Amino acid sequence: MSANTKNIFFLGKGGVGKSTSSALTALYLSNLGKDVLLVSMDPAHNQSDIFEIQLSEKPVKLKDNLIAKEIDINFWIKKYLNDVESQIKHSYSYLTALNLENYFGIIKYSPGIEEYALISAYNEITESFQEKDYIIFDMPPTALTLKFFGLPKLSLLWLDKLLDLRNEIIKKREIITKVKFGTKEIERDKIINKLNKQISSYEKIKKEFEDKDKTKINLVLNPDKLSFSESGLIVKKLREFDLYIGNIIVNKYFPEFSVDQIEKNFNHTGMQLFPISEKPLLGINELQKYIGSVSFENYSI
Amino acid sequence: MSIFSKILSKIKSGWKYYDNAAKEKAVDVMEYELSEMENIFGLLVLGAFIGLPSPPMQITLDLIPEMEKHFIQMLHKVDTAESPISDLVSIFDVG
Repeated sequence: MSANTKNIFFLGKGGVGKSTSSALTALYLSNLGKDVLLVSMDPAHNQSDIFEIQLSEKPVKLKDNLIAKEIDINFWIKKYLNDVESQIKHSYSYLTALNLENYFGIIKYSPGIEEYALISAYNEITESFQEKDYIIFDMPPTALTLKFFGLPKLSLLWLDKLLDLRNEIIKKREIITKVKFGTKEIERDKIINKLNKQISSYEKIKKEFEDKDKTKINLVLNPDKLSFSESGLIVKKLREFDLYIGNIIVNKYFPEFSVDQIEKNFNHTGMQLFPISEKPLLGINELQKYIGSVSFENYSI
Repeated sequence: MSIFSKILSKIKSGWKYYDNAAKEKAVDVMEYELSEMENIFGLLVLGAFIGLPSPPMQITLDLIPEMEKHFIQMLHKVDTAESPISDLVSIFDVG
């Protein structure tokens, strides 16, 4: 992944305007001459409606310096499971593979598969679009987004324990081989290779998420109580994963609302305000007009 | 060859035989331990298939192609799960 590409994630309670805020940010940055990719990770896929252009897995040009794509979670789940299934068929005996086939039908509904599909998509996108200045991710609803951010840390906890046990197994196997055959040479353990590969992959992602210069996590909220309380939960959960909010975006802001409450609640100074719009923000022209009327002075991107 | 040398040679071969037998016994126990450790590893990774808490699914799925032996062992263990003592006794050659 390019060291210069910055990743910006937009998260928040459902309906607060994550998609609109990410669309405005993508347009604003491209207007500044930055090369931007906007990615809709939300299964609801509002970006197609906002830009009034049908988006898909294949990137679509919205204007100079700005392309956008939608992630189809089911496509990524299917792709991943097909890969695993073909590896099993390749390395297993016929009968065992046949037994496992019965399980594969239901694995796609297993907890954890959706966030892994998102992580796979994230990996592929950040690898494929290294030339971009910014990659902007419009994230799914809170529950799935938090699982996405928590997956590297949770996986590393498991992988470290499994690696410890695997190392003990290998040590024991070495002793047995030495006593039996007088030599320490044993076959390279394929499982330990795979564990190490997974560990380095998750460490890389975790490091990227934690790097405040590389990754900005933007919390979008509305000036209302429900949005406040869910945002508080998001901030708390992210801290558990050693992640912190880069910007707070107050969408549908109105002048009577005092931002002091947010500063106090979230211990965060300086925020981006997106005032409530009289017209619906649909289509690139309306979005551009709105950008012209908004100050981006406090936006740290 | 003198009688003394013959006796020494008999003692040496007897010792060698005893040493090999002891080593084999020790290795048998260690191999049992190893197979139990592999079984625990298998259960930790593949537990989802028999209703045990398991790591995030992608860890299991990533390792599964290399774990046919564990998978078979886990299913085999289901057969012997009801008589773990007899399994252990056969390893230590009791009775």
